[in-house]
Amino acid sequence: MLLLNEVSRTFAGPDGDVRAVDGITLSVDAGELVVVEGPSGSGKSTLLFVCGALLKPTQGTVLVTGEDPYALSPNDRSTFRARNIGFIFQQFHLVPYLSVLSNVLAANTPCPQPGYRERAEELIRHFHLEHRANHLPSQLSIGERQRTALARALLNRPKLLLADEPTGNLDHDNAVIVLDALSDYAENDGAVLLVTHDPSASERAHRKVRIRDGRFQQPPGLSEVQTGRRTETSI
Amino acid sequence: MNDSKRGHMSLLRMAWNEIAYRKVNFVLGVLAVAIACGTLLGFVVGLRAYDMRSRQALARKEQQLKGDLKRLRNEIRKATLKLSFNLIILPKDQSMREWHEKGYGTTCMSEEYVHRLADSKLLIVRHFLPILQQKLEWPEMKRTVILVGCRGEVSNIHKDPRMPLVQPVPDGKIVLGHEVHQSLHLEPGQEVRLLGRNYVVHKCHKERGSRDDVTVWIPLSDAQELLDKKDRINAILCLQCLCLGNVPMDKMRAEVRKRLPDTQVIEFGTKILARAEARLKVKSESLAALDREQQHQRQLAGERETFAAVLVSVVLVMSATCIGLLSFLNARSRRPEVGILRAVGFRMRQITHLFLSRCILTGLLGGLLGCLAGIVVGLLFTESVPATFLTDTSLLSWQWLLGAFLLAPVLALAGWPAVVAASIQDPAHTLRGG
Repeated sequence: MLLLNEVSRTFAGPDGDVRAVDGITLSVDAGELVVVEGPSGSGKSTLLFVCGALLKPTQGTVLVTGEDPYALSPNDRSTFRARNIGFIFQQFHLVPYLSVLSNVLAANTPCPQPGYRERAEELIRHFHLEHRANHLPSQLSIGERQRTALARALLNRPKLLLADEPTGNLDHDNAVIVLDALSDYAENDGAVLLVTHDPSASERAHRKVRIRDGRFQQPPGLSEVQTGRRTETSI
Repeated sequence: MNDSKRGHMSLLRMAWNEIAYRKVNFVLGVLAVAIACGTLLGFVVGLRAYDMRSRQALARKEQQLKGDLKRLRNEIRKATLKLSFNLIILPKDQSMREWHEKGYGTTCMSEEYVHRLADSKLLIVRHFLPILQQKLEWPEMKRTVILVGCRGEVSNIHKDPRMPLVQPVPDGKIVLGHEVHQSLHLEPGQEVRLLGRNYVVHKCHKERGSRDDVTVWIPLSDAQELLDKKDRINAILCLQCLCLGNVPMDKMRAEVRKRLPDTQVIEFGTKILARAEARLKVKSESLAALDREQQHQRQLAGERETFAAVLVSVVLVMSATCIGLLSFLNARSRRPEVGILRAVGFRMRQITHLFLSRCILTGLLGGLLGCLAGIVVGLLFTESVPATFLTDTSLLSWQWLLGAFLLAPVLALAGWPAVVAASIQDPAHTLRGG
């Protein structure tokens, strides 16, 4: 579902170029939940944006569902993103002037398809937000905001779900709801790439990789991370 | 929630929700546009109202001047009548010495001369009065009088008919000078006999202190018969029209002689000309003063228009700056929103539309409010200035209203740079907290 091959991304810094991501090769298959761990500034988020067709790599190739999004025009890449990729962020990034329902439906605006209202309502019910459907984000609790963001990310049934510290601001109960949703999503043939510091999140990973200074710490094929559900053999 | 019923949010709906969420910014933008449009229309209305008032005042002044000049012309006509005539045409062989001694001519010329003169294209004389006069003994009253036979004025067929300066003596009537009717104790309506003919006293003149006091007037044809001078006259009085008073006397004399070669023309009444010239000078100076006033008003109007143009331009620039700043602040506060919308698949064009919808709504609403303010100002001015509202000649024409309304969205586009900046921002940079 997601395939990175020797992907690098550099940024111009005051003391010369900085390699935020340095020659990373990674694959995430359908039905897999892969956790990326690493200290702050190690390049986790940059890797996530590169995977999400938001940040073009300076080197290497990115394939999502077998297609290189960076080979597309900006407009086509936006459409590709809308149809194939879902995002969840630690800061939720809800549109402040839209209600919960509208925030969820906003994901269907770039490429409108009929029948998504029912799916939006179903997701809202699934995440116990039905009583908040017409509330603005500012009227929601932190957990409710993240659940709304999760519902928005899942609306278009993306093939790849990218989550950047989704439980970082949540209490235990809400974190469990979010992680359950991500696990369920992966169980249903979705591909999930989860960047997190949360040990409980790591426990749910099918595979786990550590990143430092833009590079994976273990060479591909040597990582043997035992998770509660699957044994990882390589990245 | 119609959009959400369809399963997605329309951009317009999103823009409307955003406006409702960030009311203060939107209201300030609308006010900036409204102030700009309102100022523009307000100045237009104010300037046009002032112009109308100025025009009305000038028209009143002009009307008043015309009335004054008309009165002046009538006064001149009356003054001319009282003072005597301008020219007298005598036969060529009339001795001047004799004419001055006796006060009337002793030789005659054909009455036809007056018709020839009247029918000619002599443009400088308007009134012709043929007379036959002679000093004689009034046998029935046993006294000497000057008998004047006169008829009505011979009209100049090349010009507009004018009120005659001297009224003719009706048939069978006689007009008496002051000394004559006083000494003979005659009054209007009494019958008198002159050279064997009966006349009814038509009018008795007041004292003039001239030969007129010893003069009697009868119809010209009667005088010609009584004096046995059929179709003969001994003078033609030419009453000069005052409107041609600036024509030199030499020219008038030459004009008459050209048409009646065997006559001579005597000038008198230069005082009348002097007065006429003075009146004409007054008229020309009045017209010049009116012209100066009009020029002054035009100059003032020009200065006001320049001032208004500068002020309106300043207001427009300030409004545009204000709108640009508000748009920039709006776009800045929406950076995370733009980032996530780009992340979920919104295209740059859709982001542009989202921001542009806001700009256009700001412009339309601001324009509407500004135009309403302009209409209110127009109505207030219309109450004080009689004008037809919303027509071509009104204080505020529909063209100005339309112009101001169209200006509003254009003005709102001052936020365009902020819109472009928002739409091209890097979503990854924003979402990473940059």
